[in-house]
Amino acid sequence: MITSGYTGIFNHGQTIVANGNVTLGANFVQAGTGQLTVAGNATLTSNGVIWTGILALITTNGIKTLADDWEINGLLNVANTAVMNGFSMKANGVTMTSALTGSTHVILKGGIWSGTLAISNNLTFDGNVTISGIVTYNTGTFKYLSGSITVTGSTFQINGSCTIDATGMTFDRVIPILTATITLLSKLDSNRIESNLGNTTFAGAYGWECNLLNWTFTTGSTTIFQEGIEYKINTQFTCNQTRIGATVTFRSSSGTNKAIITLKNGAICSVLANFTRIDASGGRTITTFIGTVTDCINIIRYDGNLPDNALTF
Amino acid sequence: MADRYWVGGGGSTAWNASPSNWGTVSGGAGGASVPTSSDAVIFDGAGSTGNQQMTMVATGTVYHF
Repeated sequence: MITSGYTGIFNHGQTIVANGNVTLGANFVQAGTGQLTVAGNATLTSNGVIWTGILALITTNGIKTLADDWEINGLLNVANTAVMNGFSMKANGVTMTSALTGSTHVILKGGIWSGTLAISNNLTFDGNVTISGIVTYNTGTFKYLSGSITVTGSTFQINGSCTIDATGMTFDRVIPILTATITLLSKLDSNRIESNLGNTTFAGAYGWECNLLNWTFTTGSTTIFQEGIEYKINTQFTCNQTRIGATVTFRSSSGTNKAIITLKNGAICSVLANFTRIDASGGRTITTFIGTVTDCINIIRYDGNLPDNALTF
Repeated sequence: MADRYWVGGGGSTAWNASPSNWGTVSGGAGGASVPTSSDAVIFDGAGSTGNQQMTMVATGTVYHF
């Protein structure tokens, strides 16, 4: 504990490990970028002081309870599976070596988001953030607020039902990897949207736009699109791994109204799927080589005389 | 769990350099042991040298901080 009575310089060039509660005194002076490691269950109180170094969470399933909003100038290192509850944690990047859950709102003011283990907390980008490699988002609300976001070569995995409000940034690759409902509070932009596992439901008042929609399922799957909402594919629509056996289904959320899939004129279409209540009138015709087409516009099943291995128009 | 107060006044400002920097009561005399993982560490600025700079020169492990 550093109380407000301490006016010296707390020079943390090295790591300090706390096996319990941490309290920073208001207005205390720090130097250094050392790591504050919090083990076990702990209550963390910042009193408005910015920790100038790294904050690491260790001890599997340790519960960290924030007593107020926290800000750190280093990264948040989730080294062991942790729960972080209450208030907000503003950090300069996050390393997800283990999963993080809880009610604390994680805000990235910069830095790098890396590591494949999932964040389930609400997560906001509010600065120049780099997504590095494969990262995973679970339940919660992901929001882009400001900053230049670097995504080259990265993958944003979604493995739980979540809400996304990310207009203003463009992902490189978005992959739903488990059955989930993805609620969009604004238009989602991504170079690629891909999936090969689970059933994905797109909900909310906005759709998405991508260059490549690539569904590589080898078993049956259903993808549901919100009725009346447009989903745009600019370059290529691929869903061709299910020639034999169960078929992928794309359908509207409504039993009466259509959802809108617009495959841009000139785009490649390579699809084996069922379609139900999809309006594709805004772009080129979507042609499927197998499956059923029910109550759709500008989607046809091709029954002509093509070679057995024909996949692409 | 024991309390360890930073009272300063040691020959070095390093966290782990000298028991002289650590006391068992606020503003008290130094000479307590350097805090360990079972101790609560408190910086409250009390005493004549309690506001001396502290420097982490090696990893320190405490119970409460």
